[in-house]
Order: sequence, then structure tokens, then C-alpha cells
Amino acid sequence: MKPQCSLPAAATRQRSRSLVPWRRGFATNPLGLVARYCVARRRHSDGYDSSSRLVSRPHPFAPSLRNLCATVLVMCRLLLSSLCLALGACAGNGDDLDQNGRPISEGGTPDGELTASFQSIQDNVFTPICTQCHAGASAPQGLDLQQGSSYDMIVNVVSQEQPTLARIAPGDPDASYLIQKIAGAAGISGARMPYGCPTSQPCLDAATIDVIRQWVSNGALND
Amino acid sequence: MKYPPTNLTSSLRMLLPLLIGIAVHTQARAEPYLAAREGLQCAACHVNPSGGGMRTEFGDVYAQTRLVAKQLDMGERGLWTGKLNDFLRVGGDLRYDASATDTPHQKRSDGFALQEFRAYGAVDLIDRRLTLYADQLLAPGSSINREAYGLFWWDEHQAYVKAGKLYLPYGLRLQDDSSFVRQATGINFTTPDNGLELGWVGSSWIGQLAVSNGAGGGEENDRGKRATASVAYVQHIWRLGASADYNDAAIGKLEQGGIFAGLDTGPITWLAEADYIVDKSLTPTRKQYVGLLEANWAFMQGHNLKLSAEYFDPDHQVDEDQRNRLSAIWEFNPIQFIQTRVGFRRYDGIPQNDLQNRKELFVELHGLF
Ligand code: HEC
Repeated sequence: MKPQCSLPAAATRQRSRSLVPWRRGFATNPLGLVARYCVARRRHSDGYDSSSRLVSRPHPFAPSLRNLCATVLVMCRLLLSSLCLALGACAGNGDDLDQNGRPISEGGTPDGELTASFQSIQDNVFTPICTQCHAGASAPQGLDLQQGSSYDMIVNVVSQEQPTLARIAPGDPDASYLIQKIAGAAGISGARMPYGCPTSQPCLDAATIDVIRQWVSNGALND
Repeated sequence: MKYPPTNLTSSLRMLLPLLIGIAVHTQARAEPYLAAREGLQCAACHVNPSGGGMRTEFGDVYAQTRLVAKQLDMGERGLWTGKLNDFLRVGGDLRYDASATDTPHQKRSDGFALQEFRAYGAVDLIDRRLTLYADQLLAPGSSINREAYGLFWWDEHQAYVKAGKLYLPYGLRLQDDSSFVRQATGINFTTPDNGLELGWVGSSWIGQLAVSNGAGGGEENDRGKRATASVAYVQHIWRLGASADYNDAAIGKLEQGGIFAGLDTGPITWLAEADYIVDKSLTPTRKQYVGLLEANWAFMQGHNLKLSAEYFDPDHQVDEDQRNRLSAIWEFNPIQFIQTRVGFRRYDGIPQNDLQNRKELFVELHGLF
């Protein structure tokens, strides 16, 4: 069904003053709302401009494959160049930084392998992956996983989502809510971590989860 | 009440008695570009005056008539407005994804996943004045509450107060929580907080001020509170706004501020946001810059092509650590209640971090009502 916009010309011409629909005047002129739809519809499909006067030339963005491709290219260029050249906002080349983007002089581990020690988990999982969100005072569920605060935030600290569980229960990975969250266990509240996985980023792989489990089984030491 | 089945104008007219007099009362997640395209305020289409979540009846009608490529005849029943009775309205949002992520030096990961199923409910206790509202994430995982608040409007329907668990008013309320601006500021659809919000919805000026625990939705763990404010000046084809956020937390203060804008240039609608973040929870204090530029091109009825470029400088004192993200997403609303999204994102960061250089391809089926 094609929506019809058969309105009296006067109603179509009516320009709304207020930007809130219920104050647009359709309490007094109920056609106001319909007029708004029609004007907007025409503007995009039939080559009318926003004041609903007929534009004599063909609509410059009439859909055709050539137009589409050309416009996409122009838009991409525009977006990229405005970001990269005009604003100087290109991606960094990583000189003198470790894998987490911190200066090597700070003593990070540039290319450390993941082992069942806390510092290794921090450098290879928490810092690069979890602190995208779990950082600072306003971190989700108050869980700050940044270097320096993370240990005290998780070991023997009750979970906000499931207060019957500790985030990390030393010696008991199955009863550790953090482990359940990264493994996507059946009973968790909310999403599997890292949030949005596997769509917006990969989930942690089984090998990584096993190493973290091993660290918990070993007593979750601050090593 | 009967709606003539084939004529939009008259079914809208039949709906007008419903629409007239609604002040605020359902797309589940916000799409600020639509507001910018139409020259409307968030409150026009969302129950939440600061945007996002359940749509208003106007928002429902808009989505079923204006956003779709083909509007299927709904027969006698007329358009869906979420209204179960005079008091109760419901809405929802289901997103199902097939995705593939290509991260350097890692096996490609791909799969199907239910990204989210949210249900919204609003009880209009006093028409136009007092509403109880809840946003519940039913899946994945077991159910978890996202928003739950009471909303009271003053008589003129310009000022309101909201109390409960709420999303904080800051910047562009983008649907994509993983966008750099939403992730770095930590204010997005995954991070509600408990508190109070005061708001003003004028003809051109809108503003919100929220005071909350500042504990990321968790239990209050210190005496400091979080204050978040946003103002915007909204015109038919452009809008300009500014936001500020201050969280006085025991582990260190967080201060952030930013500006955002929208511009409608015919079939292309532009959005932009830039923020400066000072995170004192780390020593030395971390100063971050983050920005977004987004173009939305309605190239055919029911279609939208969203292109965005983002920039994130995670520590201004450190050189060469900046990141970019480019996204191209084709959104298609074939008929009412259904949207398909096909998207590609390219992350560009320091070469030694694989995750910062991943590529994602996704197809999403989005059901909305
Ligand atoms: C994209 C943002 C994001 C990333 C990345 C992320 N999280 Fe989360 N996390 C959240 C949000 C939002 C919540 C609360 C909502 C939920 O659980 O669905 C949360 C909740 C949690 C909780 C529950 C806290 C509690 O007290 O109940 C744990 C545990 C957790 N995350 C661990 C992790 C770990 C470990 C990582 C890294 C492997 C991680 N998260 C990565 C956003 C994120």
C-alpha cells in the first residue's frame, strides 16, 4: 500500500513552528501531523524541497547505482580526510609502545605470553580487552579492571549482578562469577564478556579461559 | 474502533484522537540521526525525553509509516501503538546477528548470536503527567534490568523529573554502544546508573541534569556523587549541544565534556561529537580525546546508508597510540517492525595490538515494536 498524501494545499504548506509534535499545532489543526509526513516524504522521494515547493530540476540524489557508488566514495573520502588530514587524527604507528599502547618505559610487557599469573592476565586480557569498558570510576557494575585496581576489585569481592557469588573465589573457578561471565555460562545475568562478543569483538577463546581458570584454581594469587 | 485499511491519511486521522494529547509517553534504541533528519526532539519519538528506549505513539506511527520501504496493510487493526489499554503500553527490540571478526594473528571468529532482546513497559498512571517505565534486557543471559524509573511532567509539559535507574544524559545517544564516543565516555545503553534527572523540553532548547551514584549501575560504594548535564539547541535542519559529566569517586575523579551537532542536508544527515575526558583514577592522570563524524544517507525510501569515522586518543601524553574506526552500515526497513542491517567495521590502531586492528562484518535482523 502506498501511503497517500492527498491533503489540501494549504495544509501541506503549513510550516510548523514548534519542534515538538504535540505543540506543532495539530491539536488545533489535526492535519498538521499528516502534513508533516507528506512534506517529509516528498522531500526524499519526489524531488520536492523541504518547503514543499516543486523543484523543477530532477532530484540530484535520484537513486541509481552510479549515484550511489559515487556518493559513497565521496562521503568516505570526506569522512576520512576530515578526520585524518584536517584534524590530524590518524591512527598511531605504535612507536615505543607496548601491545597495550603504553610507553615501554613504563615497564609493561611488550609481547608477553599468557600464563596463569595475575600480572600476565592483566597484561594480556584485562588491560587490552576488558578496560575498553571496565575502566575508572564509572566502570560497569563498579568493576574497574585497570592495572593497579583490578585485583582488589575481583578477588573475594561479591558480584553486583549475582551477590551470592564472588567475582573470583580463590580455588573455585566454577563458583567465580567472572569466570562464568567470560565463559558465557548458562546462569549469568546480562551478557557474556567481553560485552558484545562475538559481534563487536571476539569472545575469549577456550585456551585463554583455561589459563584464567588455572590461575583461580591455583588460589588466585596476586603474582 | 475501526481503521479503514487502505488509506494512511484516514488511518492517521483515526489515530489523531490518540495522538492529540499525548505528551510523552515507545525503536528501542535511539537513532539520533532520525531526530536530526526530521528536525524533531528525542522526546517526540521516545518516552524517555532524553531519548532512546520505548517509543511514543508518535514514534510508533512514524516508524511504521515513514521508515519503511513498503507499508503492509494492517487491515482492521490499524497501526500498532503499543497501547494495551489506557494505562499500559509495551514495546520491544530484538537483535539477532550473524557476524565474522577477522583479527590479525588469530583464527577468524564467526557465529550467530542473539545480541539482545529488550522489552519495554510504561504505565501511564496519570495521563500526560505520571509514568512508570521499565527497560528489561531479557536475553542473552538471564533477565537484567536496564532502566526503571518514575517520570513526572509539570503541567506545561516542558519540565520533568525522573527518578530511578536511568541512562545518563550525555552527548549523542547513539544506538551503537561500541562507538568510541560512547565507549570511552562510558555513557551508553549498557551503563545505567541510579539517580535523579531534571529536564527541560522547550520549543528549541532542551536540557537535562542528572545526579547519580556514579557507581556504574552497581551499588553505591563511596560518598561522592556523579553529575551529568546536557543542553542542546534544536532547529529544523541543525542542532548543537554540549554535555558535561563529573564523577567524584573514591578511586579517582572522572571529568568529561563534549560538544555534539546534527545537520540535515537533504538526503544526507550528519552527526558529530567530540569529547575530552580526564580520568584521575589512574596515575598519571589520563587525558583522552574522542570524536565521531557520521553521515546517514536516505538513498531510497526505507533505506539508510550509515557511514562513520571515529577517532580515539586514549592518552594524550603518549604519542602514536591513537585509534580510528570506520564503519559502513546499510540499514533496510522492508516492512513495518523489521529492519535488516549489514555492516562492515574496520578498526585501525597500533600495529602491536591485534584487537585494535580487527575487521568485522555483520548481518543483523532487528525486530522492533
Ligand atoms: C564493551 C564493554 C565491555 C567489555 C569490553 C567488557 N565488559 Fe564486562 N561488563 C560490561 C557491562 C555493560 C556489564 C554490565 C551488564 C552485563 O553484565 O550485561 C559488565 C559486567 C561484567 C561483570 C559482572 C560484574 C558484577 O559484579 O556482577 C563481570 C565479572 C565482567 N563484566 C567482566 C568482564 C571481563 C573479565 C572482561 C574482559 C574479558 C569484560 N568484562 C569486558 C561491559 C563490558
